[in-house]
Amino acid sequence: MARGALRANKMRSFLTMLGIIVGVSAVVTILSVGQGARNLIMEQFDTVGTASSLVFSRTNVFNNDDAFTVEDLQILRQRVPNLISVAPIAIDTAQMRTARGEYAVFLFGIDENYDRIIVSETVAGRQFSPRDFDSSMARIVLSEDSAARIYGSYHVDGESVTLISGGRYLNATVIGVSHSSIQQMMTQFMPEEMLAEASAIIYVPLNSMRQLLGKEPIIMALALLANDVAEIEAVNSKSLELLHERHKSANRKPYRAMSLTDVMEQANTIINIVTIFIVAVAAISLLVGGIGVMNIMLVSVVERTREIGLRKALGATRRDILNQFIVESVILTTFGGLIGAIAGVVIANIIMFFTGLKPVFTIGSFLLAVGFSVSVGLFFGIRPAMTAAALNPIDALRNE
Amino acid sequence: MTNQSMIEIEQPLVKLTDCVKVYRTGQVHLKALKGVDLTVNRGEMTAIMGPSGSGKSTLMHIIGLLDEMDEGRYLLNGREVQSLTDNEQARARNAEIGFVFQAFNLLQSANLRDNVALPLIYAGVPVAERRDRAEAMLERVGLLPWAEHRPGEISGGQKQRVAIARAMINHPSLLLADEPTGNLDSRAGREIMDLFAELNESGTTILLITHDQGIAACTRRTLMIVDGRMISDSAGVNAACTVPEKVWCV
Repeated sequence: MARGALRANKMRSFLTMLGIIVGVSAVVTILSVGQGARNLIMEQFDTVGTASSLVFSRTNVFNNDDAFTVEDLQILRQRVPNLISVAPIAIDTAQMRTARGEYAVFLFGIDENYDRIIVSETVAGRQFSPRDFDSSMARIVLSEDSAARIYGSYHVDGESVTLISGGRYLNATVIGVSHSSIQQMMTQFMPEEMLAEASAIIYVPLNSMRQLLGKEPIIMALALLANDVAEIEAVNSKSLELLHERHKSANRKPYRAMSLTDVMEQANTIINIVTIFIVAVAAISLLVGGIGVMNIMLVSVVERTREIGLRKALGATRRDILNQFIVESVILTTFGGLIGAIAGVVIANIIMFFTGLKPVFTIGSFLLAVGFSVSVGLFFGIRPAMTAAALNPIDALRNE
Repeated sequence: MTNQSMIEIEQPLVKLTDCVKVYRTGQVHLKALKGVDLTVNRGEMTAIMGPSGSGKSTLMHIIGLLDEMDEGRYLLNGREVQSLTDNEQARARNAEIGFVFQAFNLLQSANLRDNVALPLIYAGVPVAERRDRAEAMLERVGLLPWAEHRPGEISGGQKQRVAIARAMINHPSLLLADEPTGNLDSRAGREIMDLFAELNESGTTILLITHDQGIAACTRRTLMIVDGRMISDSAGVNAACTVPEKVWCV
């Protein structure tokens, strides 16, 4: 019987629900997209390792003396407490000649310590084994992006390539494809002119890189691994102190340490703030929607005073009338909530289509949104329902 | 007549003693009923007559538990009405009383079947049974083919038959009708009175308000209320039914 009254006023019911629809769709959209963004970030950091950090220079190490040296690494190993491992990351650009053509690439020169610090995901083939770092045979690992861009496939192990730099050549064999989010982070502090030159990243043992360049590669960054997440900050500051001292740059302080948990927390905080903000806006929308529901229910009570009188004359108790109007109000908001949830899923998918973000729909966000709209209906429906229930049957029947 | 109905007859269905009703609006106190005594026995069909504002509707509302009196005593079916709680009164309205209004008071948004079934919702009758009983009642008033239609699609006389079907669906002991033919033409009015007569013959006690002498004449008993007092209580027995066009008298 409650549905009958709502159906009879379709347009009005819909407009009344609109506030709820907007609020709930905003909540569902933002929670699912937010969770998607969070997952994306977590996924990236998962592959790095949480007790690690990167040390790099803010200056262009190709033009000054700020590049790290082998001695730096030794000093850090000896003098920084709780430092388990430190790995050099040398970077340079080169041309890579493949069966498919010639490409400008970034060389990431690494040694056997790198894999202990930075966790990489093997996409195809294999990663470096300790033997590869000493071998005179040059072996390389492609980043996921480079493999896709150059070969259009990940099944590239065994491919022969030639690396060319400054007129020097090095024949190498591809042994695998790996994925690590450190790539994106590294590009953040690479000199711009380098970024303009190349985009594909390949991993090369430091020895092979030395062979190709005919000189000592420039170590642009150090990867540090502390023995515990709690020690990272201390390890970072001790390392920076030693490095500034050694490079006689204590007054300039060109070095920075980026602890990965910090970055992860920062990103999470930003997502949380955005989520809270939008959910707050959505809550205001639900509140306004709830007031709209209460308003329309009060109007409905006045309009249907005669009906209420009639129902009472036919035997409806106060509770029957109370229930009828609360049920109407809850049907309105629940229906609004369901439409809003569906709209939220649609909007989140549209956002996914344009951003490539994967929205995550949890039962929790649905229950939250729909549960909230049911509560809005209950809360804002009670007052009009009580007004209706309190009507005196004969006064209600006399109403014109 | 069975033994059981013999016993029931001993107890009046309505026993109203010295009923006083005062309407208070601000400073103005209007005494609508000034001490009315009324006894209605089972099986009676009684007309209440009187000019506008005489208090006849007020009396009917009090009998129908829609309004409360200020003084007096009311026994419905032997039960003291003043001692009933809100819920008990609602239950009594549902189970013992059927209302027929001048303006029909059908729900426009519901079809005829649902309109007729309305009291059964509050009686706690399951949906399927409500449907069957509503259809049986509609058949009895000759409107079963219209069950799916809405009140807007039928005539005034048909609406009133739906209202009577609704009033009768829960087998009330007392049927109250406030000017049931007031909005109808004479032919439709006659049909409604025929229906009342039929219901009365099958045992329903009927109390109806009218200011149509002809209608009143069709009942066995006529009460006259003027200015809040009962001035006459006569057994009609068709004596006054002399107007030739009022051929629907029973």
